[in-house]
Amino acid sequence: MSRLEVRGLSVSYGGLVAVDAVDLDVGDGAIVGLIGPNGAGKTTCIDAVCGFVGASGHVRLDGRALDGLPPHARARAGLVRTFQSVELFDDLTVRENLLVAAAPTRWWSLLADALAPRRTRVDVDWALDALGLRDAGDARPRELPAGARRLVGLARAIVSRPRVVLLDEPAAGLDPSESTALGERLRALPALGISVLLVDHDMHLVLGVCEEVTVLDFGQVIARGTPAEVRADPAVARAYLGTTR
Amino acid sequence: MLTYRASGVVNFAHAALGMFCAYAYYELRATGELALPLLGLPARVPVVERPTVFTALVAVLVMAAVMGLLQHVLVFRPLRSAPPLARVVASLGIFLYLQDLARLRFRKAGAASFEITSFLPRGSRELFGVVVPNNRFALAAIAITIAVAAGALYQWTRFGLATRAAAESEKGALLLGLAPDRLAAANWALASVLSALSVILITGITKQLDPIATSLLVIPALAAALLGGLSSFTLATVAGFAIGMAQSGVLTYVTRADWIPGWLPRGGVERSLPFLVIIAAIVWRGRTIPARDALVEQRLPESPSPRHPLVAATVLGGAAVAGLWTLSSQWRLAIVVSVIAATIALSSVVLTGYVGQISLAQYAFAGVAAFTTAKLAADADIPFPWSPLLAIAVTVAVGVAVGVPAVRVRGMTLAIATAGAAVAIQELFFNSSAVGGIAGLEVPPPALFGVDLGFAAVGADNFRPAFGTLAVVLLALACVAVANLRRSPTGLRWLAVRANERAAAAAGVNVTAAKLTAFAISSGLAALGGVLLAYQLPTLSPDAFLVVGALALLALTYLGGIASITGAIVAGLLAAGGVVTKLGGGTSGSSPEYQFAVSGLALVVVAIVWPDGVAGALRRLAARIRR
Amino acid sequence: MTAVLEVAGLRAGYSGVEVLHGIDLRVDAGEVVALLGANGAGKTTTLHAVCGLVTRTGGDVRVLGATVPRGRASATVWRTARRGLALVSEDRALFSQLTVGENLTLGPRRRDRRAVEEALGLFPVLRDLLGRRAGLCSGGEQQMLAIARALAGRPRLLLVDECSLGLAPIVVGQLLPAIRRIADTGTAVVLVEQHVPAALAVADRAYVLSRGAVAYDGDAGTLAARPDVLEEAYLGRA
Repeated sequence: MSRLEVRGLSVSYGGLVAVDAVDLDVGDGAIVGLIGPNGAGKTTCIDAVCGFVGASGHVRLDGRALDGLPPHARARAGLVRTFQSVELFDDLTVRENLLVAAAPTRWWSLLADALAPRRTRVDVDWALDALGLRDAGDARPRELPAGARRLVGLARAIVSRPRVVLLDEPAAGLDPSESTALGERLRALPALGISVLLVDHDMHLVLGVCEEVTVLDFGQVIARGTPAEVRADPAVARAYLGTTR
Repeated sequence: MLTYRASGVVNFAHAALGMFCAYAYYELRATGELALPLLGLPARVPVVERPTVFTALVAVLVMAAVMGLLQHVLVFRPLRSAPPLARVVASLGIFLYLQDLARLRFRKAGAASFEITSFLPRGSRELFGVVVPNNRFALAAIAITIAVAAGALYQWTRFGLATRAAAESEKGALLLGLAPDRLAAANWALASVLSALSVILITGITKQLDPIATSLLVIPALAAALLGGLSSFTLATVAGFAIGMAQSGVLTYVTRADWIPGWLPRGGVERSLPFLVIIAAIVWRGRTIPARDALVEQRLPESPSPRHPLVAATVLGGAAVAGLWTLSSQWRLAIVVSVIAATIALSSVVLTGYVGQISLAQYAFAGVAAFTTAKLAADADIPFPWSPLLAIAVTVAVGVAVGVPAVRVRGMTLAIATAGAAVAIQELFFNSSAVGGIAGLEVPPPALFGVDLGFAAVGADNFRPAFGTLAVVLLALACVAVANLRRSPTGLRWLAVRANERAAAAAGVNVTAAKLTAFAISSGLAALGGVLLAYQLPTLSPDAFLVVGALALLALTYLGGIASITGAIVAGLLAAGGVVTKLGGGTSGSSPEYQFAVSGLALVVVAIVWPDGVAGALRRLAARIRR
Repeated sequence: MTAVLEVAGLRAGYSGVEVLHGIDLRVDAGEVVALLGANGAGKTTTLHAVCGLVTRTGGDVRVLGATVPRGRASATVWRTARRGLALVSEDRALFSQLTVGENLTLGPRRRDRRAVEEALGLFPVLRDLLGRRAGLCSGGEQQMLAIARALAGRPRLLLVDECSLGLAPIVVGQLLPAIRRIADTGTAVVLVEQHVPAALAVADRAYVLSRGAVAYDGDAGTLAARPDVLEEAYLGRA
């Protein structure tokens, strides 16, 4: 049984089927890629898995069904995502951004918080360290360069020690060296007990980091395999270049 | 029944503009002089010797068009990409300005010098067994004509087409070489003319023209427009008529039906039911989490982390207490008024500043607490510390009840929905005979362990400092608690929700729970203010908790700095009858007449140039000094 | 021939991050120029910088001989649109609440039945949809409408962004030849396209962008015979 199991996931907007009966598996300690041309339904797929759009089909995490749960409940269960447009909380410092995701909520939190603030009790520095953001902890997201903002988004995703993170184009807007560095960081995640589903356009990154890659086109899975297999698959070249060479 | 839309901006001052124009119209008919709506210009200019209905109408409608244009160019165009809150506040500023100006300009004229007349036909006829005056038919006919004409204009002309296009996609319009700015200006002028016309027509029939009540017509009008999705004239007109008819229909029904319990005020049911229906409809159309792409990049007032709340609370609270024990009784009153206003403003800081939920129901919450305290203390004989505590608990329950549906809507829509809820609470609860009714209540003075904590006393002892001290201590405690919350994970979650609901949900934040806790805390703080107010006021009447009060206080809090505790304190100091008014009245000798008009304008200016409010400016100043 | 669009050393980006590091382009009247490259290479940003949606940070853009100003985005876009530039943006920027017919009449600056008729002549399918709300049309119909609306304004320079995005191949097969016919009437066309062979089939010349710079420019036919250039740019394999 894989850690994250997606079966027959379908999403339709009006008459348009954006995601069509997609199966996905992310195993323990795995880094799985999800690629496809623009408009193939990759982001919609992540939205559906995380509960941001209504979908049919089944999502299981460690064998536990997550169907019908709202996004925050899935996040608390250990299924966390990042956003293509990063979407940090701009009013908060980097460390506070992480605290939002890390601090546990209990029924007495409100009362305890009103009597005495307890921000320092939760450790988030390990996540900052893991992504090389130690020095940026007290900065506001706006003050950081785009590459660092992406890393903060990633740090916020892993700080609650999720079982699986779903990364939506983490390398968008990064230059080649930043992208390579990001690849190194991603490769370190399984050692922290976090499996990864990676959506990105940067082929160097996806094909270099992932053990297994799934290719979507028009909402359907058109290929699946190791990076080498996908690279050689004529259906993939057709989807990207529109040719039948 | 005034239903129309300006392009893209929901304007709270819309009916206020109509109100001013209606005053101007009636005065022009009587005297031949046109009152101008700008401070600094001569108050009146003669137009024609003996104006006819037609010339007067034309003159006033031209003025309305110019006022609309000015609003667009001076206020709303600069705020085009500002957050909704800034636009709400700016329109509230205009609202206060126009309302106060109307009071000033037309006060000495009074009802005697000009008469409110309608040029619609008189007489009446019977319809379905109900006698309906002819002028209602004429009004309905005009309303339908306007709606049809407006509908036709937007449906078939190139101007209308372009307006609808620009309202949907500014980028698309620009790419086609359409000029959204000019279109918006034209629409503002048109909407203002329609507003003026509608108010003149309606007041001609009802014979009720009042700076505040008439301006508040905007709430049902906005509700109708919202129901029409802010774009469908047919829906909006139908909704407008439905509200009007439901109000009179419900009235007929209620006077006959016996099943409605006697303690509910009849007029209240009539006036509030449509609101409840509309709020339900608006909420039903809302969504718990905004969909993809529904997010707009926007800057909100910065929310600083409070630094030394305990020290600040001790110093400021100490100063206030010292003032209470040393200064004259009038000063004591001013300090207490400020403290109470600050407490209620603090509730807005939590809900609006920290979580981004614009609520206009804070005074209604305060009122619920005040009346419940009064009732519990006077009728049920529940002794002092328990009656207000129970009242606060009741109010928190009401606040959460309002919050449950409200988590589905946001921005402007929420502001209108909470304003509607406030009106409903006001009509159903405050005016109910079981609670208090219009007559007002006297609240027994508080006492604890044999110490009299009452406010009023005979002679020079009046406005006793003991009560003021209690109020100051409670406010200080509330501020420290709010500061703690702001710095704790709870506060971080609030700010996360304010910044980006989608990302907050992705980070495991229960957005609904975060908003509801904020509603609970906020209504609790408003309730605290309400309870203090109940003890402070000589008699408790619904007038103290009207929606207008909530508008003014939200505006003042924004002026002070909506996202910081300092902002609430500043708002308290600025509140009417508070310390700043006392200072101003005491030293400068300038007449406080223009106070609201000027603070309304100040509000507009602050909303445009200084989105962090006075507190933000102070903070920047402090940072500069430190450097 | 006169250049309808001249771009020299164009630099532009978003919120302080430079995306274009100096782009040179030239498009003449009656010519279709394909702008190719992987996602994130800067194609859309180039188009946006040309029409003023993105304010450039350096370089020069001339449309019909006049420099595009670097002022406020809304004013610049409006001015270049009036000058005769039309952008069919990736999101199509249709007015989805308006009908197909209403969208088309907003294309020309004055009521111009003839221009609308000519645009409909290129896309006869739209004739049956005039009364339908644009938002209810299929993706392909919307794309045709977006192009037809742009054409009804009789542009001198047409920029088409991702015209085949999310469309079935058969629709793409209709759209691209229509764009060729548009250019044959004297309009200059810049075509940003994912569907590389189809784009090269209708284009006269092509530019391949890679990481914000021009990696290749030349004859479209020559490029079609160089799969190595394309694969390097798209899949990142050498």
